[in-house]
Amino acid sequence: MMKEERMSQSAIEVRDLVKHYKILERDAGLKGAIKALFSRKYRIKEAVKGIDLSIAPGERVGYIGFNGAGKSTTIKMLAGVLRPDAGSVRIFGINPHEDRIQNARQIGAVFGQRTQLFWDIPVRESFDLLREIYEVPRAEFEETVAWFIARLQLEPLLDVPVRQLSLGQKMRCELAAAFLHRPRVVYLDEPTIGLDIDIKETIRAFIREISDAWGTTVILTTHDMQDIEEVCDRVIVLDEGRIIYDDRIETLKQTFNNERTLEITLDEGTTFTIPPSVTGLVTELASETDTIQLAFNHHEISSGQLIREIVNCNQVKDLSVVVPKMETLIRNLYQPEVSA
Amino acid sequence: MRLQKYVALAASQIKVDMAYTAWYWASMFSVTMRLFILYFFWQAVYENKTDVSGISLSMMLTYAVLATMLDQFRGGAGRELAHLIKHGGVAVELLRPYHLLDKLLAQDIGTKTSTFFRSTLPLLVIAMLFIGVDPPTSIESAFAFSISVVLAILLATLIDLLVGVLSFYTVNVWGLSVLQEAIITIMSGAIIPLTLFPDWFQTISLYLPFASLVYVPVAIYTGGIDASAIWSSILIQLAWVGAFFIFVRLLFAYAVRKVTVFGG
Repeated sequence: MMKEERMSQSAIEVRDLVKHYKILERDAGLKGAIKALFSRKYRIKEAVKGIDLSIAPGERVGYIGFNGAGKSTTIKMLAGVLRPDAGSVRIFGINPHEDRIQNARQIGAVFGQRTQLFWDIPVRESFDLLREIYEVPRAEFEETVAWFIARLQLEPLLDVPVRQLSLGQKMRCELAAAFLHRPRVVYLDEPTIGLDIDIKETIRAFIREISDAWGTTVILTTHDMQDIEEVCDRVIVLDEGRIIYDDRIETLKQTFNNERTLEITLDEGTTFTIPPSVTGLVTELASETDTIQLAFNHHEISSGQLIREIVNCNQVKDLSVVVPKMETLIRNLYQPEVSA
Repeated sequence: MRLQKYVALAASQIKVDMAYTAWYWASMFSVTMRLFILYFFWQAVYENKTDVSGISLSMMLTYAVLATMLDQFRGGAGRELAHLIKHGGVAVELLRPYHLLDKLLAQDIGTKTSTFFRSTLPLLVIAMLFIGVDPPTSIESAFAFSISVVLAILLATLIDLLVGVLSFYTVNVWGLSVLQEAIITIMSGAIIPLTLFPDWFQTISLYLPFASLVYVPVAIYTGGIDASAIWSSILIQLAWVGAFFIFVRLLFAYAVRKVTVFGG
């Protein structure tokens, strides 16, 4: 009973999700191509190897991982475009692959470079057509469009055919199109890729604002950690088809909050010695002749203490303490031994 | 199913087609050329004859003009589907609350409506003025012709969609699509009436859907099909439309279950 109640409350509920791809194996060259005509060998690639997820309505989740980690595959299964090989997906109780059209009404998406606008017609007419397709009441539609035009500065773009838009202009229109029917869940696959900083800011602010206003659940995949930091309240890290991290963004920051790197430049001709008092508390990272990088935990030894010890035994020309960025935090998740 | 969104899609497609004027003039030019080539070809064939297997020159020219016109309404939706699959756009299409086949059909109706008004009608006038088109043999045949034409166009679209759906399996359907074009061009009677082919060929084409695409409607108009056989021919067309409609839907539903969307 408890479990059912929880199920009905979550926006996205995923259990033991698995997806394999069959990849045709072919030897290189013309000979390989001819051989492949007669005997086909397939290799099974496990793209997603058993994922569990439970995402509450209104949550904004950053879904990250290296290329090929299985992010897009998962998103496509959540959207109902790909059929899972095993496991279950429910979006507000709907099985997205079985009831694809019913599910389509409650979701929106921006799929990287793929446009969902209509290539040959102006932006305004694209929106109108989407209104028909999603059967949005006209009053609601007008209100939404007016709001989006203001937030995303779409006014000058409305009469331009989609194919003539620049990347940044197109992405703003894509985003508007994805939210136009007020979906309950929106998947954003690399919405800021290749955009300049101003447009990135506009897009991040837009996603936050809309999601706050309508309680839209947002799943965001990106390689830009700034996106995650500014938009999301939860991070899920995927590696080789498995979830390796899933927590609040603050928790992630706190976990690695005490990680620091000390960069030291020595006077020319001197060699570096680690003071005996700090051995075990610092790790020497890749160092060049004059520049040394030491990783340490702020909690175990304070920056001031460490600097004092270092300066006492070395001819230091310059030094700086580096607080790790989000990107470093994420990289640490993949290589826990380095951060230890 | 809400019809309104499909009407909107068709209407939008008409606007899109209007935007491509260079394409429009190029196709007008090529069809006009084709009409005049056919005209001179048949003039030459009929040089010293009054009829070829019982068909008079004016009847043959009428056939040639109508067959050429009808041939303009072949396919389009299937090519679009194949393109969507090959370039990954099908992923976005599957995110939308409509049946993709219905959407393609709606757009196809849009395109064909604009083709009819922008190209078929003016070409028909040109043909009437310079080549000569006989009036239909009777009111019944005119009526039957208009029904038969609609069925023929629908069947052509469904056959084209079938080839498109196959690209879920083969990715590149270019070869298949060229083969389809070649077979249809000959076996539908788009170039010459099927009655001019040898008997064995006519027997084969009886059991294939291709004659329903061009030969049946045009022969109904010119009187090549006897009045008594008109309605049974239309019934056969209808049966083919029904069969292909169901087959394409089933194949599509099955393909979507297996779909692998390429890239990203």
